[in-house]
Amino acid sequence: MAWILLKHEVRALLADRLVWVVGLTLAVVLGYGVWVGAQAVERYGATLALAQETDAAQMADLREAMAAVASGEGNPSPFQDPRRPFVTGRTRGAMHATLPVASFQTSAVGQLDLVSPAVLVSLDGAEVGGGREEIENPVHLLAGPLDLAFVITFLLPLLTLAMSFDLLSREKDMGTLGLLLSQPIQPRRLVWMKALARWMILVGLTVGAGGLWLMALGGGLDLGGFALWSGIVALYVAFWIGLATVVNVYGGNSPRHAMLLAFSWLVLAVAVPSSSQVVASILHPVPPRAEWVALEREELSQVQEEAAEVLATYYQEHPEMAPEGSIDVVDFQTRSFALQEEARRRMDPVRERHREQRSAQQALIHQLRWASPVTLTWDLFIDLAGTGDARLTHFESEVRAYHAAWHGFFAPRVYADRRLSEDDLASIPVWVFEEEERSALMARLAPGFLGLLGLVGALMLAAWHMLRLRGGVRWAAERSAG
Amino acid sequence: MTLAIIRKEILELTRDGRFRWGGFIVLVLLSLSLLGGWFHRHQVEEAHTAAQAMSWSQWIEQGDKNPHSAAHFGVHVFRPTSALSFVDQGVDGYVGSTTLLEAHYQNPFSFRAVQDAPGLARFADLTAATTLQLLIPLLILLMTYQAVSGERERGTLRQLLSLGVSPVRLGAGKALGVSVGLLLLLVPAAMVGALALFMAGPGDGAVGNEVLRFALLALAYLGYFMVFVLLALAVSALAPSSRVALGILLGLWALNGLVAPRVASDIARMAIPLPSGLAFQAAVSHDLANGFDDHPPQAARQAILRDSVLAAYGVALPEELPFNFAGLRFQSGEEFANLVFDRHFGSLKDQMAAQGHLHQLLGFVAPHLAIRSLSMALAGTDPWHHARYADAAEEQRRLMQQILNEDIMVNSRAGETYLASADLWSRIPPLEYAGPPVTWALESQQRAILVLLFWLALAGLMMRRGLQTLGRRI
Repeated sequence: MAWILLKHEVRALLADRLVWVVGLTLAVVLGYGVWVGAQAVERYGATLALAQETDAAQMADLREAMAAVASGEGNPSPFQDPRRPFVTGRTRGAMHATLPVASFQTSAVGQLDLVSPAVLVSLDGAEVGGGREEIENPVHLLAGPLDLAFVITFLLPLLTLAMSFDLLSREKDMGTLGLLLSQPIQPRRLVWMKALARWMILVGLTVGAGGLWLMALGGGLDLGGFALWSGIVALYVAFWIGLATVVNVYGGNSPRHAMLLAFSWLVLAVAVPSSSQVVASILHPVPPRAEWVALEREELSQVQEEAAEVLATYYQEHPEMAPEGSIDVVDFQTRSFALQEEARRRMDPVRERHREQRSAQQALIHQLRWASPVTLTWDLFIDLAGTGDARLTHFESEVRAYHAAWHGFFAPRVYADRRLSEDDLASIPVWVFEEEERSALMARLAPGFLGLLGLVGALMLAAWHMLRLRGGVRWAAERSAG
Repeated sequence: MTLAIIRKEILELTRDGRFRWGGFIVLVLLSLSLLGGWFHRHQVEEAHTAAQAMSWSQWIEQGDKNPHSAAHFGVHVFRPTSALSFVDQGVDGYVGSTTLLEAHYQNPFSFRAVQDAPGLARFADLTAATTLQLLIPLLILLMTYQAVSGERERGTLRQLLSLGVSPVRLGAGKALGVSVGLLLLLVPAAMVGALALFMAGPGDGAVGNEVLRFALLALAYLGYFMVFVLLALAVSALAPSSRVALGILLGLWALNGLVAPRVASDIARMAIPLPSGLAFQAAVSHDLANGFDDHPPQAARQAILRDSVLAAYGVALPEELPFNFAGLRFQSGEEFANLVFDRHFGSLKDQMAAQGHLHQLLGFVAPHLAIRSLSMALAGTDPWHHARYADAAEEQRRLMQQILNEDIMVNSRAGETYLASADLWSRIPPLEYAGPPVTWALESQQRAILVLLFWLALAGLMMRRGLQTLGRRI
């Protein structure tokens, strides 16, 4: 019987013009979303390629300059001399740490339209999101992209509700509910099959069209990522259909359901996420980075006043680094590097405080994602795409480790006022990005996934409960009214 | 009769759970966003003012040094925040907040606030502008979609028309009724806004005419809401049923507020592409080193300058000149670099302005684009206001370099160690930025204003058309 009901419902839905309008709209916006993601990945890739080309040209130039100096042909100024570790480590040899394109990045732009994928690493530092920024019209950044993640999280619920708001009340409006229930059909089964038919059509269409668009425009399909993505889509659609089912089972007419569901969307997609964001930013405000700038210079001025003392302390602690002779004749660059290092060291607490406050806000907002299935799903999507906070934090820590290696290579040579040779160039640390294991991603996604599953389960339970307790009486009343 | 219709509409609205709940949600969100905006502005303003004061005292107290070293030391400037940013933060968080005014380089503004925000925060960025541009229109649609179709479905439309009420009068009454209902929400919100503006105190010069700007903002939003009231009434009158009216209106709302802003960005990006950060930097460096058009490369430029100055003074060596040639060389380098910066930053600014104008024109398809642009402009948080401040900062950098280089020319001698003191540093006037008046803000918004008027007229015509057909479709 269930099978017949399902078949009938699917057939009835396919005969409805609204379903075709919804389906066509969905297929088009999915394609657009994939195209937007593919465009973003292309721009991202172009920046990566340019950074890599710049690095290669810089290194070739450095080798050439080094060879010229070694053969006695070149006589560069101390500020251009490639043998000087301060010059090579700070400017002439500075290299980019790059975040490669993730395998499923086409599905969500996330934070990567804001953060440059290439961070310049030098003796001056390496700050993800702190260096020169990508050029983009700020209005475009403000609007955000219409990518696949946006289509699914924001627009798909609206289309789902358009198809499900009158899941049951339509029959009532048309006067066919009474007729249906006069058949030997369990009301519960009728409701489940109606919900299931909609879920099958929407999930089938989203996953099918999404997969095809990703293959056609996204330059291939990462099967693992796509399988997880499909799972999230299936649960998310189930949530919204579940909500529509509960509202329908509770009673009332179609316009009332439409209003209730539109308000639910407004509350879950806009009100709750936004309010939690405002609360988080008031509870854990992140101090503007601009304040670093002035503080850093304040420290540098202070350190410059104490220059002799700073240098003396350093060489006292690292006698092996001290150049021969008196520290009064320390090279200008060594001196200036030592002072910058000290100023940076004194700035560490400010940076640490900033990082801590940012982490605290991030942690709170990460917790607040549980307040709404919309934020929960969004978080799952950008994490899966590798464009969310988790991968960026991982990138940040890899960049910090690389910078530490860079510093470890150049700083002792600057302090000891040594000169680099052609052979030394081969030993300069090289950037290698270790992508996190998929198992780590899965472990991170699991709670959100289970959370969605739990929500769907709770809605089903609520509908089942209502059907059992009140369905019979209410429906009977409506039947007689009909 | 019109009064009776208005009274009935208001009564119905205030009794309606939709209005009460929707109004409550929107009012809470609006208050929360105003509060959040005020708090944010307060925090940023405090940090920027402190940093600006610290940066200036660092400049004055940098000690005795050569003016060129001081030029490299430079001074930071921090973008002031508009007092009206609590209503619409515009692109404030998406543009850099500070730049270093130093020798040889025009640095772009860096440190976008949004870079420090978690990913989820951007997804759910709630500002008063979002509430006004997105949520209130949604509330209007939900309040109004049944206004005519509901009467028709209940059979009361036939009764009303039989009483001799003209359809136009009926429409006007309903529109006014909904508007008064809306004002019940908006007046308290505007009062909260005015209070926040009062509490924010007189602006620090980020924009001029703040009160007038606030009044115009209110007017622009009222116009925008009116478009939705009229459109919703038109659709309600023209649609065959309330169900269809609701479907059409929700679809239009999603297209206007959710889809159009994003698609407009893609269209603008494709129509007027911007260079990548690395490519832009490479192009500037290239021109600085190799020259452009008729300007020769750096080495040749310096040789030409040297020869021409020596010839003009009839001396053989720079040391024989009555001033320090190094100062002139620095200044000449600056002036050439300024041409390069004007060329590249100027073209980037033009491209962004062209994108902005395109966004406004696309408002003919979706009015959201026009109100977004106008609202940011009136609040003083649009890209044009930011560009104006960036220009003022660059002017200041150039003035600073000129004063320092002239001092080298006049007061130092080649080959001698020359140190200037705080006297010279304090001769550089601090950047006193005078924010633009409202007339300046509106100059870039002519298209947006035109678009809003077009939509008002279109929605009015559609409603008239819808009402004219009432008699035939009862």
